[in-house]
Amino acid sequence: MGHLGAVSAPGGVRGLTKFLHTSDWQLGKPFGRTSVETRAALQDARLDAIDRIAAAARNAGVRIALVAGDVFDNSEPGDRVFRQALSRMKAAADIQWVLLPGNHDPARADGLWSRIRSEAPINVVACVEQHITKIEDELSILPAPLQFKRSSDDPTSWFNNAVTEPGSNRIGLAHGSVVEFGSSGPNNLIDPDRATKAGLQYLALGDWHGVREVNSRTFYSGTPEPDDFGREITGRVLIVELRGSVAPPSVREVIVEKYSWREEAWQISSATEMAKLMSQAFPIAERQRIVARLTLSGLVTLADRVSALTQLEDGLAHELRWLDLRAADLHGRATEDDLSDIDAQGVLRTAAERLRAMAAEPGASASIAQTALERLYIEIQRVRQTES
Amino acid sequence: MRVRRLRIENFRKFRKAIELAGFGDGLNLVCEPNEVGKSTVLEAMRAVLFERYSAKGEKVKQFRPYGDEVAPVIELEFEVDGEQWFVQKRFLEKPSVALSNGKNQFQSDEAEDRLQSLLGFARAGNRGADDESRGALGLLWVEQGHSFALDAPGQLARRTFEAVLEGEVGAITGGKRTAAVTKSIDTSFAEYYTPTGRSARRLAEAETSLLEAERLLVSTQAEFVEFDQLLTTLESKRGELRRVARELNDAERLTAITQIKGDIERAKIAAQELSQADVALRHAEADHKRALASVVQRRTDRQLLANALNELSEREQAVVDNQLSLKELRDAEAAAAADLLAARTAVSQSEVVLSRAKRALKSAQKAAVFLAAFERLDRAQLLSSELEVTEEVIAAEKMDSESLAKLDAFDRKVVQARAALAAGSATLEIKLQSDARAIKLDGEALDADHKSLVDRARTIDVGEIGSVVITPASSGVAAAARLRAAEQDLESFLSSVGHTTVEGARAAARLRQENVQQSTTLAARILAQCPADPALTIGAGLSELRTSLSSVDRSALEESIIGDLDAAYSAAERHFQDARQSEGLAVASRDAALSKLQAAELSDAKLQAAFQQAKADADRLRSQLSQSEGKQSDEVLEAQLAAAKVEEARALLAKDAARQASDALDLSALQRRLEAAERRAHQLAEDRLGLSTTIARLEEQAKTLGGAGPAAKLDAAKDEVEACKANLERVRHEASAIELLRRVLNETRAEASKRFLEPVARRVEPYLQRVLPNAALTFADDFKPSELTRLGRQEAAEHLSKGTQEQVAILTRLAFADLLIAKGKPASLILDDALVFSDDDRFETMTDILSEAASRMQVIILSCRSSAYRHVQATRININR
Repeated sequence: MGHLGAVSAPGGVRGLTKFLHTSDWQLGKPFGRTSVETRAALQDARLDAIDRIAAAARNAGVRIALVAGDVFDNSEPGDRVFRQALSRMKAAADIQWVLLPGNHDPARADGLWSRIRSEAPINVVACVEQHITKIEDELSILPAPLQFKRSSDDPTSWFNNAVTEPGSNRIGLAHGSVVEFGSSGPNNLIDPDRATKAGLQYLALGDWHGVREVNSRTFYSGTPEPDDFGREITGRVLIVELRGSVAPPSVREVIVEKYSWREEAWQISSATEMAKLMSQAFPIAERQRIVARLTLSGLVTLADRVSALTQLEDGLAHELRWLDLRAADLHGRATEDDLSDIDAQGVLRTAAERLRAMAAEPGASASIAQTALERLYIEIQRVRQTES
Repeated sequence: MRVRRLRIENFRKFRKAIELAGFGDGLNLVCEPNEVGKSTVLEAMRAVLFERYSAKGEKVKQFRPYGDEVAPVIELEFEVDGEQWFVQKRFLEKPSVALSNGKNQFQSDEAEDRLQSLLGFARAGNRGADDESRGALGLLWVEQGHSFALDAPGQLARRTFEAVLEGEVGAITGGKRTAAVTKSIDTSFAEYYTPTGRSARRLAEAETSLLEAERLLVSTQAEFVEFDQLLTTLESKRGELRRVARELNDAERLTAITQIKGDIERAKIAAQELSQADVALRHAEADHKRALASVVQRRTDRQLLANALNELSEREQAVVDNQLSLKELRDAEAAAAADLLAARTAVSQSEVVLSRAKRALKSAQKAAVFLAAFERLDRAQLLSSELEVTEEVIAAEKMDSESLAKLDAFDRKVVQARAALAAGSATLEIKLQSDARAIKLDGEALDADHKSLVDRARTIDVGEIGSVVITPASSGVAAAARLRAAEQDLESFLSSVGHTTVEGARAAARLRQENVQQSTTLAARILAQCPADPALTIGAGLSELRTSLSSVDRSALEESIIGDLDAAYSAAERHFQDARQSEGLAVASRDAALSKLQAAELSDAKLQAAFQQAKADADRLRSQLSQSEGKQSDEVLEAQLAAAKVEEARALLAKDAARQASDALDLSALQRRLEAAERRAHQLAEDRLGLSTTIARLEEQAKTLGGAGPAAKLDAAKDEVEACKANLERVRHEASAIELLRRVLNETRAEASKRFLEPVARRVEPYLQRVLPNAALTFADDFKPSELTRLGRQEAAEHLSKGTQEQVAILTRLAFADLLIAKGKPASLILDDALVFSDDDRFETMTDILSEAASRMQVIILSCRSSAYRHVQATRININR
């Protein structure tokens, strides 16, 4: 393969000491555990992120966007995602996109990246080999493309001996961890001091989904569109401005996210309390762009549990983009009032009492009995409503 | 509820309108023959209430008279709680319903709703009204043929009963609310399970979705693996192509080919040189071999001659030696022949001696036999004369065994006669004192004591005193006479045999017997002396012996010593045998000498021939050798051999050198290498083409497969499986909860139902006692009569007779109607052609019960048997066509 010697940044050489750093787009992520319509929305939001990144770049007066790996969620995302990605980048013709294969979309001969290279528009560069990519004379990009999902070598080790023209800014572009996570052994482990060792002005990293500063010249940008609960600062891009070889670059976060992923865990004692928490945590105006996981716990009356769940399932769940509700630990204890609500006496009352007793017994059937009791309660409420 | 008037038009057989009016409060009888339309009347009554006016179903269509496209119209006037109601329904053509109570008028659905709430039935389904929708009233308005059995009342009817009984039993079912909840739960249950408990709808969908997701995962995995393998293949093909291209253009490879070609030329030349050297060597080797052969031949010839001469002399010596031994053998043979002759003479002499001894022995033996025979004859004749004397003595004595028997007989008679005399006579016994006077008995002095028989007159003389005569009795005289006769017989016999006393006769008899035995012994001894003598041809017996010997002159027989003669014969025999043995030995010696001689003679002939042969050989060899020596001397031959050796060594060296040159350049190997190199070049070119094509094709495939997004699909499929699993788990939980709820509700409801049965049974009881005394009826949970207990025996309701079943069913309905009436619910009882299986007594009891019931509710009986109801007091209604 030939190597791309130099690229002209669109719109001339001005502002070359400034660029945008992003990563982990993971286009085409399936979100299979959500509902069908949510999946489509979340998937589209990731594609839309390209447009929002382009806008953020323009706002910051930046013409170069470095994407530090995991552009796609997998090594073969299919034509639709592929085309959408390329056409959106092509549409942002004033931005020079520099793409790097990551562990989700490693560069494999004849795979995805071969197609990107053969079909990419002029303003998109795919760094699939360890070759310096020069953008005008100012920036020398040292890419560390991943060839495999996992590799025990530090993909950036070649930076140390890479020769660049004097006066050109050495920018590293890599994907992987600087810390060893889990027990599966080092994967694409990157030396945190690589920037210093290889004389880099800046090392743009991907893989970590939140923004993270490793050192003054090494940053993770995080994903521009959140994709899971429990992430730290996420949904941003970094605007990096080089300030000569001595001073560290200035790095600034810009929010670009569309959906906000929130994870909440509430212990409640009544439906009213829950309603209060709900309006606090999820302001009405924001609900449509919130994806939430809500874990409820506590001990409430049967009426309160039914009421709380009704509020969540029939109300909030429809207002949010998506609600992942986990109410198994919210125990609804049928009180005398609850039973009176069911009936003063007679068949329904007897049935309710029996179910309550079953729910109190230990074992797996208890939760079934509890659900059955709740169902009975709900049915009776419904019948009451029809009666009135 | 009370029916007042009914009008029917265009309904089944009633094309023209008919009207039944004047229904009274109590018992009403509609008695009409068959085919008039009683059942149609009841059907119309049920239709006008229970069927929806707007219904279009098959059931409603059948309301029309056959073949007519008209609109059936039914009007009914009835009374509920003292309020008069009128309902009119028109079906199919411009369908309508109108309900009024004088104050209010209701139309269409509102009218239907009012009617339903007024009479407690439910809206009919699409297929028309059924037992379920008709409610309690439907249960009481019994169609023809349905009065026999009381099936379990429908849900609605049951709930109605339950509702009216609630106050009584103190249990609250929740009524409508329970029904609504139960219905809703049943509906939900159907969302998860089929009636048989298999997964349905939502549960089945969740299960199917998971299965499909798992199937999709498998297929996307396969797709992904296929794509992955495609890329691997493509990569390896690329590498292969690079290697092929590199090798094709490799300079070293081309140089190598040129080198091989040069080597091939050189190798060809070397091969030629080698073959020439080889020819030269073979010539030299042949020359050497020939020279060597000549030398060896000369030496061999010479050796052969020496051997032949040696042989010749040896054979000559052998001939001479053999001649000497031949002479010795001849002499030996002659001596053996002489010995044989002498031996034979000795044999014939001893043979004569032997024959003489044998004859002497035989004649002596014969004479001895005759002498023995004469001696036996002598002894036999002596015994014979003794036998004659004995036989004479035997003949002289008359007391043979027969005479002895006679003697014994006579003697016995005497003894018997004497005994008889003694028995019949007195005994005379005289005892004398020592100083007694002399007395005489029968004249003889008696000097000792005396005792005798008085067998004759006895006279005892006592000196000086007188005498005493004792005379025996006359019987004693006869006995004495018989004794005398016997004694005389004995005496005369004794004299006839020549004896005087019995003892003497007996002794003579014994002696005679001994003599007889003596003669027998003698005869046997004579016979023993005269056995048969086969050697002398003499038969057994004295006369034979005597006759045979009579012709022999005894005095001529001399007595020789047999033992001596026998020893002489044995000696002669031994002598003869020795002579025979000597002859045998002489024969053998002579034969051996003869065969040795013959062998020596034969060997002599052979030795002579061999000597001649050896002589001829030696001559021939000698002449050959001298001829050969004449041509080429030994020295010449040796010189030729040395020269050939030198030449061969030279040729060998030359060939070795040529071979080394040739081996260094293996032509065939070189040619193979060249061919291989050329083939490889060709193959590489082919491979390059093939690989290029393959790569192009694979690239295209990779593009197509990659475009489908196999990795994305795989990830999505994995997510989908997880989602489906979670969903299935949730749905299963929901399904289990619904199932549990339904079960608990049903159980609770069934338990509650049981409590309602008691009041129903209580109400049936008094009626039942009248029809079936001492019987009790039990109900199942669903209000269906289940068992009849009579005299402690239980019978299943469905096993009762048709008639009893019908009676029980009607009485139960009556109890239900009573319940409703008592609680102010509308109820009336209509029976169509009921009680047809009842006997007269039961029929009467039943009509009595119904008449009494009519005081509490309206009862309408439709029947074709007007006579059966003649005694019944009722409002009689006619169907006026």
